[in-house]
Amino acid sequence: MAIEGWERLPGGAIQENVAIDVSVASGEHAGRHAWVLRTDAPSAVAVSHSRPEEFELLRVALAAGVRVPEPLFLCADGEGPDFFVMGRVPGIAAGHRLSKEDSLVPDRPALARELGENLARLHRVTPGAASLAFLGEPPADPARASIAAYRRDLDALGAPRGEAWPALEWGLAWCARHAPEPLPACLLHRDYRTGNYLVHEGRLAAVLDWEFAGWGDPREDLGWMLARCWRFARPDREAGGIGTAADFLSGYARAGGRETGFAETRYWQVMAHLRWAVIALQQAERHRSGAQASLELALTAHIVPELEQEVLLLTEGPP
Amino acid sequence: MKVEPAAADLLDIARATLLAEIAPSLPAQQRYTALMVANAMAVAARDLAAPAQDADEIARLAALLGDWTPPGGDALREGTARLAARIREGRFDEPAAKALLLEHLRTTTRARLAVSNPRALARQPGKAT
Repeated sequence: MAIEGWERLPGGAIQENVAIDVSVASGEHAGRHAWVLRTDAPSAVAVSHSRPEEFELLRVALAAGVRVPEPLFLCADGEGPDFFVMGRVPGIAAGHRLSKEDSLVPDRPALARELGENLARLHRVTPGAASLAFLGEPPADPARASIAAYRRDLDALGAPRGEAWPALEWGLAWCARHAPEPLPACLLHRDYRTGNYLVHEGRLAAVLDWEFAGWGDPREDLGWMLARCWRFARPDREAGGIGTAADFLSGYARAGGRETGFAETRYWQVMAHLRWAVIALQQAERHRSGAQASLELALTAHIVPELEQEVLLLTEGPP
Repeated sequence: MKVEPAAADLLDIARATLLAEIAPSLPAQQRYTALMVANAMAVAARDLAAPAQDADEIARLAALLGDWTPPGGDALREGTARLAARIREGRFDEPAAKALLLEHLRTTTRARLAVSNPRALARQPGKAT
């Protein structure tokens, strides 16, 4: 086997991705291949899964009919950082381009429906598979569990300097007051949004970045995809700046997902903005604490007021 | 007397020069980094130019909290932490208290947005989608 090309791919704050061109002389994989090698960046965050866990998530997703890069080989022998190799899927992920350039997405309703259908296939995976035991037990009430977790996160973030975020606290109090009855838990991607999937020739090619996947309420993934903070250049297109919420949600229902109206996702859009705000504060804290001086991490703090404004707008009344 | 042009002016002209004369000739990855640098300089310039609003915010916090006398030292930080704790306790559920709280949160958030991302100020209440 010979590695003929090696190029680091941009954009991995948490993981590093390297495009490799490989030539295999003989055996099952004989031939030339375009693969991606994925390993930990020096600054991995605690909540993300390990490479072996992510490899298993890709296998489960692929078996469920979700479009993902094909997981090929895993190396976790302890001699150096864990890594795995997966198929390299052509396509564009950049949200500012996919939301703006119609030539990349000639049929927006079709892509929005595809995104819904694909998510519905993932949500058919329910707790029980032994290979996903590392995900732990599903929370009995995911919304309340998330609220408690985000409050703990804010306490930890505020402790060093006596800081606090009243607008986010207001959003959390509103979510606690209006928490819906939980739905049966299923496998969530937890970062299913424009920017984290590849589009090739107008079609959904592969969903990336599985490091936050876990058990939860399926509406959490719907709210994340529909939240204004992930619409890039086109905030008028509710489904990730790509298409309408109606198209996305009809694709979701058509592939076996629960019938859900846009209004019902509002609660989960609030949760989405709260979660992104907490993550943004955590990223900024890595810079502020001196753990990792970084312009990108520093600027992430300045996204938070926009998320606060969205939380205030969405919570003026009951859900 | 300080030497003029000083901080805000220097940031503005440095940013304009970066965008006009350096960024266009960079490869894509470095251009992206240059745009982040320009963005950071814009935030910093707006921060320097922002009117002092701490006294207003402390007064609003005192009105909301009722039994709180702003201490010496970092009153803004302490009042903000106290308000956050009371919100978490669910103390602003009653309509009049809630209206007053939301007014404070909107005002505070608008001031933060004016520095961090003034373009988002165009968003209007009742238009959340």
